[in-house]
Amino acid sequence: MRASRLWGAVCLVGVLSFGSVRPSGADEHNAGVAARLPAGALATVEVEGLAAVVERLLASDYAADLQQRSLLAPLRKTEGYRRAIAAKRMVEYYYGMSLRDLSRDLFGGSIGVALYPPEDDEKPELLIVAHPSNKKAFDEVLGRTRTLLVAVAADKMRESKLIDGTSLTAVDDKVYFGVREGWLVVATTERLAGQAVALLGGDGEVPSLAEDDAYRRVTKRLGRGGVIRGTVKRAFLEAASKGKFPPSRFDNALAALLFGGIFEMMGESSMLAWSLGVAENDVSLTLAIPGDVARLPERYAGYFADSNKDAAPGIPRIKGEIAGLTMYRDLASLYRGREELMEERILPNFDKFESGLGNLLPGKSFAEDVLPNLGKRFVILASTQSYEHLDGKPGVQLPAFALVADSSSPDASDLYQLLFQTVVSIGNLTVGKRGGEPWIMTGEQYEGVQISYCRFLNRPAGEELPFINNFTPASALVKDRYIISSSLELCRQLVGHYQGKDTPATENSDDNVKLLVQADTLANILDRNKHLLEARMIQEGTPAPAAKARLAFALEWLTRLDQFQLTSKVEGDGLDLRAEVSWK
Amino acid sequence: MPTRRTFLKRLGATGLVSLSGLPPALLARASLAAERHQRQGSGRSLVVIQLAGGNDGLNTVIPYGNDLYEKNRPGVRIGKDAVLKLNDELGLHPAMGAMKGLYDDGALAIVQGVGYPNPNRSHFRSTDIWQTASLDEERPDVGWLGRAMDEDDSEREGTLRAISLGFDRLPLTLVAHTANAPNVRDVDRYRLDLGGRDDADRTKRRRLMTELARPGSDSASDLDFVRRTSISAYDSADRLQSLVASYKPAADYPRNGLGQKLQLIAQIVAAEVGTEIFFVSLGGFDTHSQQAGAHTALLGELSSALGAFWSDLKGHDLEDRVVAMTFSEFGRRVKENGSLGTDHGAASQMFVLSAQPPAGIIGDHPSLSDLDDGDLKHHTDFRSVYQAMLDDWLGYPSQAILGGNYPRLALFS
Amino acid sequence: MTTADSVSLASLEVFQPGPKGWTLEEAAHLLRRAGFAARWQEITAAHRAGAAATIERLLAPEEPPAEFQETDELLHRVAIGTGEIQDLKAWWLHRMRYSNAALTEKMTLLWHNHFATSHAKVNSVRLMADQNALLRRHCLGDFRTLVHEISRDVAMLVWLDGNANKKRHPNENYARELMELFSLGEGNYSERDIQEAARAFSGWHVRENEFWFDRGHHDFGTKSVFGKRGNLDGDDIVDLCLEQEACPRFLATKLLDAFIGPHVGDVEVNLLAGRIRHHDFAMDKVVGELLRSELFFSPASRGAIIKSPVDFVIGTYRTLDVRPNLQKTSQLLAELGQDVFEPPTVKGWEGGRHWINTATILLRANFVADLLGGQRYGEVPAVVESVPTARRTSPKELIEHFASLLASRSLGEDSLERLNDYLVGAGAVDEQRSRKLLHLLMTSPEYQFG
Repeated sequence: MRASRLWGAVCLVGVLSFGSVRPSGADEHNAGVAARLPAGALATVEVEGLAAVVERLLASDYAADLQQRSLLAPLRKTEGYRRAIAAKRMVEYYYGMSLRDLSRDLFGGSIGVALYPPEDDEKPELLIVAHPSNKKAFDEVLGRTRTLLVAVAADKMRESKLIDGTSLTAVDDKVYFGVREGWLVVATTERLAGQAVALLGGDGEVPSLAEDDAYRRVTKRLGRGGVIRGTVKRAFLEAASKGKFPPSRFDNALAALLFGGIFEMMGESSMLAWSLGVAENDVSLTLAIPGDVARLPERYAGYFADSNKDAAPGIPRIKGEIAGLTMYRDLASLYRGREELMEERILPNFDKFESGLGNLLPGKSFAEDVLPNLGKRFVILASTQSYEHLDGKPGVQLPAFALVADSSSPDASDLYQLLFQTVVSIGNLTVGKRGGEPWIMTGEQYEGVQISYCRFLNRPAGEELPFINNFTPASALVKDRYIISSSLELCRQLVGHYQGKDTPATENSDDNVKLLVQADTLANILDRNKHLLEARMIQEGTPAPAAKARLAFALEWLTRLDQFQLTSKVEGDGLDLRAEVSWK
Repeated sequence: MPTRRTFLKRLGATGLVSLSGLPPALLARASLAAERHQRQGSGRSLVVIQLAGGNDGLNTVIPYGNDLYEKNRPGVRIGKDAVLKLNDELGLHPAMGAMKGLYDDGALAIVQGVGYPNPNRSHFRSTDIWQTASLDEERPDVGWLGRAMDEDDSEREGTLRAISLGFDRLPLTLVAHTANAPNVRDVDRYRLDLGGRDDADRTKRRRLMTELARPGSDSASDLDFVRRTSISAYDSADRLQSLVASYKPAADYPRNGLGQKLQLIAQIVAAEVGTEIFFVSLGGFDTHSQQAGAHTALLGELSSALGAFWSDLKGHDLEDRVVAMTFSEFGRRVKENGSLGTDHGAASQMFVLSAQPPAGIIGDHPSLSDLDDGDLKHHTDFRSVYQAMLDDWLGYPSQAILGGNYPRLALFS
Repeated sequence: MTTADSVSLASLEVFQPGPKGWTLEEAAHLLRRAGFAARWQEITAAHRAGAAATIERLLAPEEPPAEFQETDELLHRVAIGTGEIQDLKAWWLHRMRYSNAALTEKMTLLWHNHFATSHAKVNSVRLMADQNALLRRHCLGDFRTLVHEISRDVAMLVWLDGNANKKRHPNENYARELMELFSLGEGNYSERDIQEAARAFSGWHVRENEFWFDRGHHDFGTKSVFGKRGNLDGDDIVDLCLEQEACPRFLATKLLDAFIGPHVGDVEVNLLAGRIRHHDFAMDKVVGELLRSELFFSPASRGAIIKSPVDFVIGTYRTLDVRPNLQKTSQLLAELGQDVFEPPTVKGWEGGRHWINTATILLRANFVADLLGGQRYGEVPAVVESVPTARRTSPKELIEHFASLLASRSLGEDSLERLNDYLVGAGAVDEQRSRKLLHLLMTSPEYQFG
């Protein structure tokens, strides 16, 4: 019963994400589905062996626990849920089998769903090919479906033409389906259905997707694995997003910094591929972008290191770590190319920024004197704080943040130090205006390293301390790494880490960008600020009890997760973008 | 000034007549309301453009023939050959091509050497002084144009007399004790939403709203005041929306912030909703270092936006009804600093754009040798300019508003 | 006994219900003026309870429910924690919307407007919150105490340049506003009184976010204010101001503006001033007497006040039982011209006709349209279900129901007929229709009055 509900959800997701279903033996692999889809698809989804994965998930302790722990309780109260259950009962009654079995038998095998360019209609044409895992059940369902269709829409049904001994059935001249070699074909045009049926017989005039060059290249890049896999043509992506994706230029400097260069990698290759993998304790989504870094236009060079050895530094593991972001970025080179990377309308902001910066660094050029000295390898960390510098806690507890920059230039540390001093001075002016406690700049030796940091003039004490009490800015130079942090505590931890104290040394990663989020510490910091989140929801009009319940639900979910990772890595003939969620 | 007939014609042109199917009586009433606007307002508008941060006047209107200019500004000076020459001594910054055109057409006046005694070099303090027209230690809490609206509050209650564009908070210039000037972010906010999707029903309710707001017999009552204002609001919103929809700018506005705001102002002027005062701001003039790039960009934005604004107004035959003026909290020091920029100074110039200005350059360029602690000395009090705007353009009693009389400046011919 | 005391005009005498008794409309009027309007059920409950009992409850409300208190504390805590004034605005709007002590909130808002202080200069959420607590603590208490305490209030000292007031450089800011805006009104003091009073307040400074009497900067010399000479200090000045004949009159004007309307004249002002003296500035007694008076319920007072943005918006929420988005509401209020915690000047909001111009009329109308059909500010629960079954039978009944719920002034016969035609033409009285009717009623000029 429980499991069938999940199966129902799987079906629903499948159908909604333009229905994905279709079987083949695991050894046949994607060629199995791809060989049965005509080439030229705008987008495809292939599903293989879903049954095994879902059964495994359902059998896991996690699923059982999920059921027991009332996590789904809020869902059950919704109107949508009640309707879904009613629909499910009707289906089960009609087919005489549980939805779970029905789904497994029909969709647990191999499924391919593909969109094709329209002939004249504006909407793309849809094709589904499916190979059920249980032939007998399939025949039974097919029979009953026919009966149902005849009962409700006999006048709309007609037998369409015969193709190599297989007849196509047309419903209302809108949907065509046929069965051949144990495969079900459903299409929105007769032509498409015909092509697919012909392919199933191995005698199609149209080549199959598996024979398409772009498809072969991109799926080779993607490698094996993944329960659900798909491809999408770049042109389709652009058209479907009305040219917004992939963006030709960014209107936001941060987005440009993080995501620039990725889609430009595609160059002349016309297709992307993705896969969704499910393992024992994680789910991952991988996007394969074929391409060659060496052939990227010059303006994108700043995004990629010459070799993976110089790629993003590793993320240090420290106590209380919430998230880490590491990247390789040649800022000076990217800044020089900003006019081509970003929208014209945001460019004047850089001029203003430069003009403002001129007050701090008289006579220096931001592009030529400042940026090149900042290094190219950066780590940004966020961690929870223990607030040893306070008697009490701030009313809103922010994580501590730190930026670690790899830099071999001695000028750089002076620049960073200047940045640090400036932040502190501006901070003191701002806080002063609001009557807050000012910072005193001071220093200490820690693990043989000089740390400059700020402490408050008087040790803040009390409940609900002001926001500013989250900050005790600190900076240090460890070997050739410059650390600038919003908290002394985190700065010390990092100094200790890079000095080889306690924690194991960080491995160099060969990623281009990597974001790592730890669920338990994230849950911890959210929990500490639960009152703030709750207040925000109340401010939006949510009743207090509902706000409480929703938060508790979200936090409970979060604590079952382990970590979230997003990586982009350049390798061989392309770039992989991978998102992964793992649970405990 | 448009008559009732031209108003009706305009309504027709916008398709409002055919669209709404309003009964003739109602149309007549709407046009009467519009006429009342015309009678009540002066029909004139003043656009105040703030150049925030302290514009370097010396690199805006440049005494290019003066050796002292070159000597004091070896790094940031604009070369003789590059300036857009106004006469043998003065020229505009090369980015101000459009404003040079306005000057040549006799639409642009340059008031030189404007400032006030004992200049203050703090952005905040000096901005307050300019916005309140008061040098008092205790800053008045209302602005000079706010006071103007307070002065004449009775007759034009309910009309949208002043608008500031694109601010989070009302600029001090417009803060008043009694008059409530709104911030308008975009013209889209000045519309009447009815909700619902059924067009026929919306039309019905729109008509009912006007009928429910029909003024009664006691025109002095608060209720009739609210009724009048409601009808005026609905009508002006309709007018603005339909005019904006059909409005074709008679010029290509630059796609910068100021250009877009001035375009909106032109639209509102064209919609004749009775707005007299517009306030916009262009920020970033605090050019302490690497001045050249930023200053060029800013003056270019100002110039191209004003140029387009003026051609647009002319294209709609509205230029007789609009005056625009710029101000900045201070100019900058004569001598450049060590980082290819300039520091806070004192006197500077103001630009006045109008259809009937006198000779283009008003007053001498301040001396570059007779300085006040390294700054240009002012010879014209900025309140003389305000006074001219109040007395000769908007028609408000300047003495009460500015708290005194200042030397008269012939800004309008 | 003052003269005003012995004069007894009918207008401040206790209200005597007409032949029909205390009407629903009168109950609605009371809940609008002495609060922020109410739902149908609340109006009928008040009607059943009677005028005396309802006024008693407004003056001495019951303990708020635990859930309200908990949320109230949470929102307050968060505002202090983030230091964002938007959060403090949301906290207060939550109180105005949900508190069962509506008169308390209304009076607090009245004093906020009277002692208008803006976060724009004070720049500290904690100080603004402290001042708000001070205003609320004394909102229906002793006005004398309120003035004494507000003179020491840290936000007020920051707002009116307390720290700049030094023996050698007296700053007149506070002394001037104390007389002009807080206690006497223009024309009731001389410039000399202000200069001397400023000296008395010298050295009333802020240190470490606390009031601090800075002896080094206080002028201990002899001052002369209102003819009284001596080594006066700030508290003496406050007492002198409160003793002036002009003070109760000034206060009476404020209260009459807020509770009766702009139509009152000198007679009523003098009368109420007399009662203020009689009750020795005890605001619960004064306001109580005002609410119970013939004057308060007189037809001329009903719907005589142009609703402030707060009255309009919060009143609409309360009437239609909306759970609003508080942040968006505070943005809307700012656009409508009443940005709580950020009044434009120390004069506060002018009110009356100044709330209304074409831009604010459109904003008010669009707010109503959005509320009844959109999501931006919150959802209106089923409108039809809120109407008693007996009044759902015909369009006429429905219009009458909503008119008595919403309108402080009745729409003319003509208008009612048009609304009836509109509804009759549309068929069944369903949710959609009811909402459209509400849209028309709440955008009507009459609904702008409270």
